[in-house]
Amino acid sequence: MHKRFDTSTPPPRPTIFLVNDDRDGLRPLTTRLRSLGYRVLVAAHPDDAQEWTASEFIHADLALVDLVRKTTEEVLRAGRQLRQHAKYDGHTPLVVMAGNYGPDLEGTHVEVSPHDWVTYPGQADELYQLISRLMPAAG
Amino acid sequence: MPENLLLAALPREERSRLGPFLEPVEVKLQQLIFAPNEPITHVYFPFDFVTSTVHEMRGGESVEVGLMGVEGLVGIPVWLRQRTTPTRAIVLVPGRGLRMPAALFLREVVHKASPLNDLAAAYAHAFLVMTAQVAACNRLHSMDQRLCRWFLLVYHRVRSTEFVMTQDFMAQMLGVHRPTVSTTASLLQQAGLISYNRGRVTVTNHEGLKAGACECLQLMEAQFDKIFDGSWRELAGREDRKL
Repeated sequence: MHKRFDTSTPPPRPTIFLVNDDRDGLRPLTTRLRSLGYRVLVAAHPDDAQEWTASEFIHADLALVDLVRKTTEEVLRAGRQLRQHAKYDGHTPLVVMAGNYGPDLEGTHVEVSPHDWVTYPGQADELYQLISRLMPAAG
Repeated sequence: MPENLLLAALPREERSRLGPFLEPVEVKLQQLIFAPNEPITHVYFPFDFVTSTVHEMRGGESVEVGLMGVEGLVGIPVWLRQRTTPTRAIVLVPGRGLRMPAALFLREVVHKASPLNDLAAAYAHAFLVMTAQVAACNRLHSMDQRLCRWFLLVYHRVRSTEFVMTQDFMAQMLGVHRPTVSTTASLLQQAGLISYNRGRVTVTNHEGLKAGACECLQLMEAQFDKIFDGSWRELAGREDRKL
C-alpha cells in the first residue's frame, strides 16, 4: 500500500507527500486535505523534497506537486525527478497541479503516463475526488 | 437618474454645467480603459461597472493594486495632470457609467474652480490609501482573508450577489498562482460563503465573508466613506432605488 518512499512503519493515516512552494496556496490546500483525513507531509521546495527523501524513508501513498512560475512540464519533471531520487518503484501516484489554464479545463484531469496525473482544479473538489480515487480511504 | 456618487454629490448647477461634456458608456468584461504608458483618453465615472488598476512586471506577472467603482472615477492620473501612467486599468465587472474626454476634463474641471476637484482630491487620497493597504495586505494576510476582502470589495461595487469572474482572471488580479484561487475559493465555498461555478461567483453569505476578511476591508471602505461623510454603500443603494 505504501509503495513510494519505502517505510518500515505504516503511517496512521493515508499520507500525501506535498511539494508546494506557494506561500499563499499552502495553507488552504493543507487545511482541506487534513480535514479530509489525510496526513500531509510538506516540502516547501523541490530541492528540500529531494534532500528529505534521500536522507530518510517517508511514508507516502501519493505525491502532490504544486510549484509556482513553472510550466506543467517543469512541474511534472520535478515530480518525476523526486520519484527517481527516492528510488521509487513506480506505482505510487504522482499528481501535479497545472499553473495556467482557462475555464474550459477547470475541473479536469489527464493521466499523462501510468500513475502520473495533471490536474486543473476548478472548484478544487475535483482535485480531492481524484486524490481519494488514487489513495486508500482516509479517516 | 441614478448615477456615480462623485457626480451625484455635486451641486445641481455644477452637475448641469458638466452634463454636456459627459457621455453614457457601457463597458465590457476585461475591456482596457487605459494601458501602461499610453495616453489616457477619457475619465470614467462608473455606475455599476468595476475596474481594476493593475501593475505589471516585466515577466508578464501582474497584481491588482486597487478597485474603482461607483464611489470614484477612473483616471486619477488625468486629475493629477499626467497624460500617462505605468499601470493598467481594466474592466473587472462590466456595466454602465459616464465618461468625459481627458482634454475636456482638464479644461472644464481641473483648470476651473469646479467642486468636482475637491471630491476628486478626496477620492485620490482614499485610492492612495487603498493601494498602500493592498500592498500591506498582500504581504501580511492569509489568502483566505484576502479573498474574502476582495470578494466584498467587488460585491459592494457591483451591488449584486452574482457576478461573472473566472478564477483565471482572479488569479491574475490577485497576483497569485492559479490553483491557489481554486483551493482557497473551495474553502470559502465549503464554509457556505460563496459559490463558484465555471466563471460565475455568487455571494451566499455576506456577513460570513465580512467575518472572514482581514481588517483591510474596513480600513479601505472607511476612506471612501470620508469623501461622502457617510457610508458610500448606503448612498449607492439610494442611487439604485432611483432605477
